[in-house]
Amino acid sequence: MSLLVVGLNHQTAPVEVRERLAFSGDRLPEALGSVKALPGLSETVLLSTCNRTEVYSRAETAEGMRAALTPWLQAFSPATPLGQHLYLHENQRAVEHLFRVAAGLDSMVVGEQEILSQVKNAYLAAQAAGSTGKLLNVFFQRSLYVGKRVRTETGLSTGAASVGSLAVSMAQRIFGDLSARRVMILGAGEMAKLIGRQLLSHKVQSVLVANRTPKHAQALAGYFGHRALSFEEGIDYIEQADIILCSTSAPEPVITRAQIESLMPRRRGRSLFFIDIAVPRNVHPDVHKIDNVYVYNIDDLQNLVRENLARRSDEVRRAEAIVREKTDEFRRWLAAYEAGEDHSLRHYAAQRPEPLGSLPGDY
Amino acid sequence: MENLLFSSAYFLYGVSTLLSLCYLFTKREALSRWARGLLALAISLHLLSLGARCISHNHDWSNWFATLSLFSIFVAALYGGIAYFLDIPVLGAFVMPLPFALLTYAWFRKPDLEILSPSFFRTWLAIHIPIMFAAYALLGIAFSVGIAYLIQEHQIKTKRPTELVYRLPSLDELDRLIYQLILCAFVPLTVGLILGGIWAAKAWGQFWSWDPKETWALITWLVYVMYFYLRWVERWRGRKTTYVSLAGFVVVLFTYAGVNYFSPLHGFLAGGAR
Repeated sequence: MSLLVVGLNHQTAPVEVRERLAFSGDRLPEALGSVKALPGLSETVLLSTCNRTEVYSRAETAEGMRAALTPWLQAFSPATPLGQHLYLHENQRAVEHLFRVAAGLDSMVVGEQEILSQVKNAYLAAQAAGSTGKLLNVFFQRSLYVGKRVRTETGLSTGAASVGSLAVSMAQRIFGDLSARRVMILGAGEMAKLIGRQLLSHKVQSVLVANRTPKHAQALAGYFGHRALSFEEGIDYIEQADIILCSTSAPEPVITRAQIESLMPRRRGRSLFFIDIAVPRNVHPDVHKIDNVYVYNIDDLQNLVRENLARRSDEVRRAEAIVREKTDEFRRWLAAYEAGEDHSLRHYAAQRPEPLGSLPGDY
Repeated sequence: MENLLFSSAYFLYGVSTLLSLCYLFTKREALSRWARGLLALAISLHLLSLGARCISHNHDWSNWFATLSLFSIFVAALYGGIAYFLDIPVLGAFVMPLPFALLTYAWFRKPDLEILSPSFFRTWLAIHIPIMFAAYALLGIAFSVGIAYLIQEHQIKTKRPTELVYRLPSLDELDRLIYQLILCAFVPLTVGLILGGIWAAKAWGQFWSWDPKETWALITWLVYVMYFYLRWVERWRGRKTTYVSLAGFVVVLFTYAGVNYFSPLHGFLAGGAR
């Protein structure tokens, strides 16, 4: 009996191949059903995200599993042979692989959070379909624990990794809870829509849109469920809004220091946050000098994202160390389990390799 | 017994402060749990030592050791309550050094001669002093939170956020907390001032005698009145009002400690009791 994983990911396969093997939504239970029927596999979890498709299984032999799974996967991608894109890991390497995946070490953006819930959902779906047993239950629950542990004990997931999430996290650093905050989008670009949507997912009170071309504003405002403002109304509305997302194509700054300074007393000193993603900039840099007003332009955001990603990659080694330690623990548990012993994982956590100098007894 | 209790409390405050500081720079939740547990234990022991002192010294608060001890237990206990209810464990790193520093000073003041002030009307004194220190303690916590605010504001303004930015509460939360702390402190500060006057009227026959201590207590009070004025009328928020609150606490410390060397009436802390 061995523990195996067969699959492909963003490093081994291009998107044209990955998209054919993406089992999302309705396709997942169906795929789980058909993979369960394959001979030689006794427990199965199917992990499918936009960056990877992997089948974790308990099988008699690696060869048997490859022989059963390769044609099964190939059937979804009749035109392209999958052989060169597929990887297969066995036992300890399979354990290490899932732990790395759950930790976000195998992700395109290192340390991203989403993969952990994707692993969890894949496991829950498999469990619901009745295709997991004791081994994969322990294995997947352990991987979720390792993923969480890596995130709390290392800086692998700290700091936003995209301009949008960085803008949101700076807004949270200024305002705290965003639920009572009003957002206004000045201009109606795609990028503004994206960040507006991210703010909305943090339950901001409202997202209003103001634009020089009413047609574009209306389309975007409809998307956020509010009426569109004219550009002039938008400028007036700054008095009430808390977060202003600027993306107009104006050749000169449309927001100046004098303008904001004169409106701050009417805002009763409440903080004001400008996210200026327009080039050329919409907000004059001097606006940032006003007390309680913060202006972050696209370069500021991008620089910080770059720094965060660099900081994350510095944490990779610490994260890998945790993964290795936990893999080793699990390997010992697995060996004992296969031999018929039934201890909890904690039993193996205690067995740390002792340093040479501290060996007891006389020798 | 009182000494043993005090020493153990002092030691535990030290460990708790150290753990709070470590917690700020690492991400280990266990550190914060230990810091809180030890703080609770330290406060209990400290309270017992104060109780023992109350009995042995007949509620006499008028010396360095007792006032420092009182000051710090108020800071520690009020912070403990705030940390428990607001769940902002990172603030421990900013607040805890304050009672620890006060107690360190108390530690070196231990051999102070116990000067007993006139025993009449001691009840007023026994109320006046703790009320003042409750106010001072809240203002001290506001000072510590103010430091956290300035660090957070600086990092966001200079666009150079470090890990710390993600550990500290948001600017709005910190600003509101400072305001609420000062608002809460203002009540005992005002009441304490009036009670002090009543006590003075009974002990010295005069409600107000423009003694330096009284003058500075009034200045302290006025600084915080100015804080509210700037906030309510001028609509100031954030960095500038935080500066006012920091300045306010410096004045508090001067009123508490510095003035004693100039005050003929309240000079008991400097050894010249009347």
